[in-house]
Amino acid sequence: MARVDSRIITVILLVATLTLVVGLLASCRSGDAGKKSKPKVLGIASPETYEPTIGSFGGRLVLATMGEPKSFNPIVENESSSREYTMIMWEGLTKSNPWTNEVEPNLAISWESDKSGLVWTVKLREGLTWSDGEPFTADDVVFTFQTIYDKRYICAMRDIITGPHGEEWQLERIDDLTIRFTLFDKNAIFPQLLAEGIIPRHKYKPLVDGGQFESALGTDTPPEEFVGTGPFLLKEYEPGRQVVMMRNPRYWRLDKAGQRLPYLDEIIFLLVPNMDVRLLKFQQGETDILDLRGEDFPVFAKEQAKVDYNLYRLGPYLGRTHLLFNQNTGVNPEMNEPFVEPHKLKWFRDKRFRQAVSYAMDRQGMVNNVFNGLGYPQYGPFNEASKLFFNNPGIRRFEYNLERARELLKAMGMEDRDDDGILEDAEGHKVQFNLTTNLENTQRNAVADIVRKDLETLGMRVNFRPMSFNALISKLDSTFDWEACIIGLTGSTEPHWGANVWRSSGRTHEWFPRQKTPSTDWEAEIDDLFARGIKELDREKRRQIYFRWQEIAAEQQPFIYLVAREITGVIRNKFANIFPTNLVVLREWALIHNLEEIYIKVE
Amino acid sequence: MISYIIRRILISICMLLAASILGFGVMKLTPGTYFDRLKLDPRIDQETIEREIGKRGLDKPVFQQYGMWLWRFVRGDLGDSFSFKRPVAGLIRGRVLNTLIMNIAAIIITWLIAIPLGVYAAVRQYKRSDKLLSGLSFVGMSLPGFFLALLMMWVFAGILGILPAGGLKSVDHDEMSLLGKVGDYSRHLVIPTVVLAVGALASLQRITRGKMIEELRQQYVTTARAKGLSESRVIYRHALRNAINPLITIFGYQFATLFSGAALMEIILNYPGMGRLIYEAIIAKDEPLVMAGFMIGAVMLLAGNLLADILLCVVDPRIAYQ
Repeated sequence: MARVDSRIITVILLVATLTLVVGLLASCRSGDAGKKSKPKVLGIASPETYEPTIGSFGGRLVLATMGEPKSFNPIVENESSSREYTMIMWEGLTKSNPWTNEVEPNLAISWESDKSGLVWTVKLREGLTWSDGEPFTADDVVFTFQTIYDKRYICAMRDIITGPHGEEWQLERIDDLTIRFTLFDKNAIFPQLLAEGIIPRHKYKPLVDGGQFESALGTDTPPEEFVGTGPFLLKEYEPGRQVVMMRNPRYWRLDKAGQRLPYLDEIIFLLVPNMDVRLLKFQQGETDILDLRGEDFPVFAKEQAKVDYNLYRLGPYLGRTHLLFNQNTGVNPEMNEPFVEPHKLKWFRDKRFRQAVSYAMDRQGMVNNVFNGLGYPQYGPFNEASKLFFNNPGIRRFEYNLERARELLKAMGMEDRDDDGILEDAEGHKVQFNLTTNLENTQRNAVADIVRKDLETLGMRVNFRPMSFNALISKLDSTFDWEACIIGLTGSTEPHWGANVWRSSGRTHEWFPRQKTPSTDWEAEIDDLFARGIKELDREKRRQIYFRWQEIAAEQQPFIYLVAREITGVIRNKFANIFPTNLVVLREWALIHNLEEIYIKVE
Repeated sequence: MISYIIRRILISICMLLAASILGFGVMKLTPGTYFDRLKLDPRIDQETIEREIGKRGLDKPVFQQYGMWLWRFVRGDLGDSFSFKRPVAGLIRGRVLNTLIMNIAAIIITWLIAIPLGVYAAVRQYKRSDKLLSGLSFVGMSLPGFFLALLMMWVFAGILGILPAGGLKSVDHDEMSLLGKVGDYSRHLVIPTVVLAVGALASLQRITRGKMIEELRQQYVTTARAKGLSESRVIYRHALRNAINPLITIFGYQFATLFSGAALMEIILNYPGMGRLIYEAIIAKDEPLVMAGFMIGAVMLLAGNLLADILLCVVDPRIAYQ
């Protein structure tokens, strides 16, 4: 009897609490009734509309970011959570136009090559100084590249600018403002590579020479040690709480009125790992800017009493998601067994199979279900909606078409002969395989679930087994015992950044990495295209080379591209000079890539 | 007593050694290393990754790696974190105080509320107030901490806007007066403390109640009442003192969690504590940091147990250790 009572009480209590909460909610809602307005939904800017106005000084911008900074060192290997800060503190010799991606002058004013294309003369801007007042000279540039080439430090940039036999670029100081680069081979993206942040020789030379540069500029380094050329410098870092960056009074850029940028005094990065909390903090007014998930968009788009922000839809993000099959013909040396069962390998290496799968992908369904409609179907390495220079608009598109998919499978001999709903191949094997992805990414898991359903509609049996990121990487990179997998790659506007993925000898040539010789003709052709592409200095000819690569990739479908999410975000409408772009690696920067020009409107 | 403590400490050292072998082993059995993350970066060469792995001795046999780690640990060197590239000790020092504040506040609140409530419920056994408290404690016990944290944030920060949405300090904390800073801390501590306390409170209240009911049935209570002692004296002086033993054991376990944060809750509440640091280290396989967090947990658990046993001996003269 007593037990029943306490249970009833519990239920009553629960109901009471819920009623209270709902009541509170309702009272808040009804209290706001009256004049409501809808926030403005804005799109991306363009080079034509980019006209920064003259602003006023002072104020700060607060943003919440996910990751804890691991280091503030711009040279030594760093992850995206650290890159946010280093790219503000140290600028490069060149930078890319935010919308067209054309290389533009920054700390350098010009770069010219001789006829051979191997010797480049780079001229620096006059009168530049470091944040501590020391002049910025050619020595700093030479020093930076020496540090990059220093084998004691791990640096992603070094591997890009090192030849296959360890050749290095030679740098020579001509005078204070002129450097001559001698390359070991022609390099079409040389100007882009100059965008790497330059570090001060006078400040860091002893650290680099002494071998302590890796732990230098870490999260425990005093802020005075950070001497840069960027608009903001580190002021304070408090673990787990925030990173504060302050105005660099010696930043080199001036506005149209000749005033020294940046306008804002401080940028505060709150370290908030949870997305829901970041959302709350924006709603409470604690932060000024927020990168939205698809499902959060309606919350900000609907009518409300007080609208002090603008909402942005900026087009596809560069990162994308794709499905791939293991085409590795190798044999596990320990067990003496093939990495992939021979009959499955036969399917995976047949382009008709991959094409059929691509036809069966309901990409629009993924956009609607996973991204709440805020995404784009993707058919090739570049998203058409971005209208990039290197995007080939004429590639073959495998739009959702189950009929065509079935025809292709039938041509391979795959049919459901015993009427159990599952296809059998010509030799009678049931068409079933394992599909995996990394557990941590919930959106990717949602995509994978739709992929599984789509494949089951075709009559394939798919065992979906997500695993941890580390486990997945070890399968892709060393044990090769996987069948189908969904992963994402950081995208880029420059095709050559994908060279290590597309070249058959590449370590991240995921469907069959590190091949001694290309296992197919089309892989051999792609190898050749990438080798030619990097050496072709004529932009239009280069474009044609990469157009051909996209044609092959679309025909062969080694990567079955699925979807790209849309970048959506909100920023308080008190900020002016917001000219968003979608061509960013860090989504949070889409709205504030021109941080130094952003200012707070004076009422 | 002293010899007992020394013996316990010696046993603890053996236990720690066994625990460290277990922890190290489990960490090594999970696939991959910290540097696998680099393997997905198409810009980084194989040799670069191998060089980094070699530099940290991760290519050596597991036993040798364990030996190297143990040798450093014994000398008080926790090593350098792979991801932060700085000493682990410094990283932990930055977080430990935050975790300590939160846990001490939660323990104090738990004990201040749970024991009187437990006694109250025991005295009014099966009355309506007892049932209400039982109901409440069942709700408290079954509510997962992270859910309660989210719920409280939603109500108090999202809808009512009276408490901050996570964190430990406001953005303009540094410009506040001393009093303002204390107030700012307290406002931020409300939700984490309440969440931690609710979870622990319920079980502590139930145990107090059960043990008190048992003691109140004993004959010495009847004797005390018959002697004409006041009811409060009977309950608090006599019955409660006898009922407290299992609570002290629980205190020992709570003591063990002083330095170890609640990772899930810290992530949701954006609290800069140990839990988040170690959780992220585990995900990234930042081995020195994971081992340091693990060892702190193990040391605190052993110390908490020892402390509880000593306290038991102090509180209850019937218990004596040889």
